[in-house]
Amino acid sequence: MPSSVTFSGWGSGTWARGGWNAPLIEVSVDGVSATASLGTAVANFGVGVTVTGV
Amino acid sequence: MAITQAMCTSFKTELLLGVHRFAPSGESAASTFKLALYSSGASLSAGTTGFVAGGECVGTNYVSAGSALVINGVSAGTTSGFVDIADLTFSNVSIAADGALIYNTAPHAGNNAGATITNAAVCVLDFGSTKTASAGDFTVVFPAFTSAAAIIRIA
Repeated sequence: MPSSVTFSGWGSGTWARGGWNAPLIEVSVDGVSATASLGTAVANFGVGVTVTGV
Repeated sequence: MAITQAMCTSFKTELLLGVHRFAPSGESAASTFKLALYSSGASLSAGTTGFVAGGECVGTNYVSAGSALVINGVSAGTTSGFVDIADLTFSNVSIAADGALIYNTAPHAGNNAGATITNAAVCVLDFGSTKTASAGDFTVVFPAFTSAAAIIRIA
């Protein structure tokens, strides 16, 4: 689940994060994923195929 | 109207077409990705194919179409690939946002027919509730850059 933290007040946030006394909201988001799949390849040599030039 | 978190379906097809390049920002091969913020009135889902203005946040110091993301590149897990995106801060803004759309402003290829793709959607992020900043910084914190948690993963 996404979540958030709000830093507010004098000296808000951690050191070097956000401006002095500036409120700061950090929204943590979730990732998105996909599952990759491979299909099955079939080699189909049809009837009537003639190999020439041999 | 709703914001439903998803990897956009069009993004999946466009990966196969070479539209999106998550090379580190600044490299010549890199696409340019942006993140736009949306209010609860937006309609975003897996079916979103590109940047949409409808429902986008409006507020002090927030610029329409959002801000550019810094991509740190991709990595491989045992059988997966995943993308590292740096946290993004909108500074000194007054906005209320319920979600976001990541999209590509510089696609590297066209669609199946070779037609140009513009502002191609990557994924929709749902914040779970309305997040409000009032004359402050609004930071989107991405999950850890791991095969199990990274913001964009193909496994």
